[in-house]
Amino acid sequence: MSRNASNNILDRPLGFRATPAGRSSDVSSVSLSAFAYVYSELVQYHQGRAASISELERRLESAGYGVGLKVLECVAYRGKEMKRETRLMSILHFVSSSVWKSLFGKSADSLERSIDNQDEFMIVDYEPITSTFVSVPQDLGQLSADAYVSGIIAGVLDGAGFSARVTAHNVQVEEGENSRPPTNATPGMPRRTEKAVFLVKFSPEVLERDATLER
Amino acid sequence: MATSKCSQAGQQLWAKMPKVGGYTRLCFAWSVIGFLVHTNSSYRITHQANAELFALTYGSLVTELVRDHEDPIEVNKQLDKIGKSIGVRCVDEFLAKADVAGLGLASQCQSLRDTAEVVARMGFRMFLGVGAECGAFSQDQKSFSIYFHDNPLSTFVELPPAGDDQMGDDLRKLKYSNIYCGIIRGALEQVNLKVDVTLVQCTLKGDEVNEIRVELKEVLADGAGDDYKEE
Amino acid sequence: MAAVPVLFVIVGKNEPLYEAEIDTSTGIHSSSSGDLSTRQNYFVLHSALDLVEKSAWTTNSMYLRVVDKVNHQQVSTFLTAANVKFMLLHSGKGEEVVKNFFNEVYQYYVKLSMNPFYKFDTPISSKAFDTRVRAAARAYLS
Repeated sequence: MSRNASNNILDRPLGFRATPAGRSSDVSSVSLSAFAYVYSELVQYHQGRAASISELERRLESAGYGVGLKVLECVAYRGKEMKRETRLMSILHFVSSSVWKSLFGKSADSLERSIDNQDEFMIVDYEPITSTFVSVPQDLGQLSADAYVSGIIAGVLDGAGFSARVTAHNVQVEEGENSRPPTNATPGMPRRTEKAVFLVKFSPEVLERDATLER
Repeated sequence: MATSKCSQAGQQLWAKMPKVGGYTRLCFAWSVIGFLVHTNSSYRITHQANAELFALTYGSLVTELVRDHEDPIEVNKQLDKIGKSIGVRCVDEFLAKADVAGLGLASQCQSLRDTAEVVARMGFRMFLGVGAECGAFSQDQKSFSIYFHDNPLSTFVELPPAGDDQMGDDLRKLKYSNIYCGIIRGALEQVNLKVDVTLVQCTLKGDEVNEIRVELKEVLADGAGDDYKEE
Repeated sequence: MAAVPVLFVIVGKNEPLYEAEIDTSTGIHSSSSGDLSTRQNYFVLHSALDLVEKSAWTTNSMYLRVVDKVNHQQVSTFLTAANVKFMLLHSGKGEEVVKNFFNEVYQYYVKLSMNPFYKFDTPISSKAFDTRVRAAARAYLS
């Protein structure tokens, strides 16, 4: 709050913005539509430069990846414990709780290990994450949000030393599966019948290392 | 002389009122604005997004543009163009939200001065959650500035120093937040005001405040804005 | 008697991203750079890298303390969440003091890395960053 404080970003508390006389303000949110407009322009820009849908996906994943690397350091720093995540389960918890909260304002609904494949984990969200990404043309909305968010998750994991392939899937919600009342849904809207599942497939070295640490 | 010109312009605008619906709708009576300024809590953002994800996503867009277009001047142009496409789309939402907030859309349209107030005081708060002021009206009342300190787009930004080989070109010419200009230009065009918009001061460049200069070029006949939409 | 300068480097995946030899009494760049002792210092830091890689997964703390000692010199290390290495070569500063120095540098590093214009794992050329690291070294390590 010092009047003479410099307005350089390195001197302001992280995430605080410059205001007059060296004061800084912490405004943690903007309107959803402001985000959606900017996000939709990002998607359209990449779309204009991509020759195919798969290239568009790759481009958005890569944009998300860069954001993920930043989010990793930022969230870890905010945690104030000065610790790193060195174990597989702890980095997954870090992603599904701390990172999720910082991006979507809430934790993911669940974190599950794949029954069939030991190297696969699922981060499940019953609420439409894509609603954060509204106003993108419908067909691109899902695809782009999937690619962008997957990229962010991959960036966080890879940065922390857990390289993984992250893909998004929409899965039908089974009867009675999600009993929790929606926290953010528009009143009067029918309950969502699909959940977002982010499938995390770790690379073999990561699993090997974690198995070694287990001993 | 100036006064008569001004009132003339005012009369012209006034005469156009019944025809230009959008413009009428965007203009609010002074009293409404006064009410708003005192109780801007009624403008709290309802559906929110994380401001950091917002800043990082915009950052990703800008750095992508910088990579693709070597010339920062060209990047500024692109940002302005992108902004315009947003501006054109955000007007309806803006008007709808103002409606929901119970602000009877006053029919008494005043002048560009009112439009300035609406854009600066309400637009910035509604979308970005920050306050902005307008001022520095020209004598003919055809241009004004919007001032704001707190810029959610540039929360984490420091422009690279001149000659930084990492980013290739000299980014001193980059107007990082130039998207605002396009947004304002696009939004006002939807309500038949053709304006020139320039980012004249920017805190990233060491200025005390961010200043956007808006200059009215022409009041379009109704329907001109609609043509753009179909473009 | 002049204070012995400390050597601080930030190492990315494959290469150093930032380095500063700091005379903690003045904070300015020591004039002795390029002479034999400096090259030896880099050698010490370089050989400590392997030890850092080893201990990286055995603790979840960012601060790894002293990872290597050569003669009177010690190498303290700090790993960020994304495993960027901060390494400080010094002649026996207290653990707490070094920790505080690293914590402050980390704060600057996170802010720097949030900048859209800073790409992860690339050399750090920010003058503002350099100034603050040197000031932090003066404040904690003199």
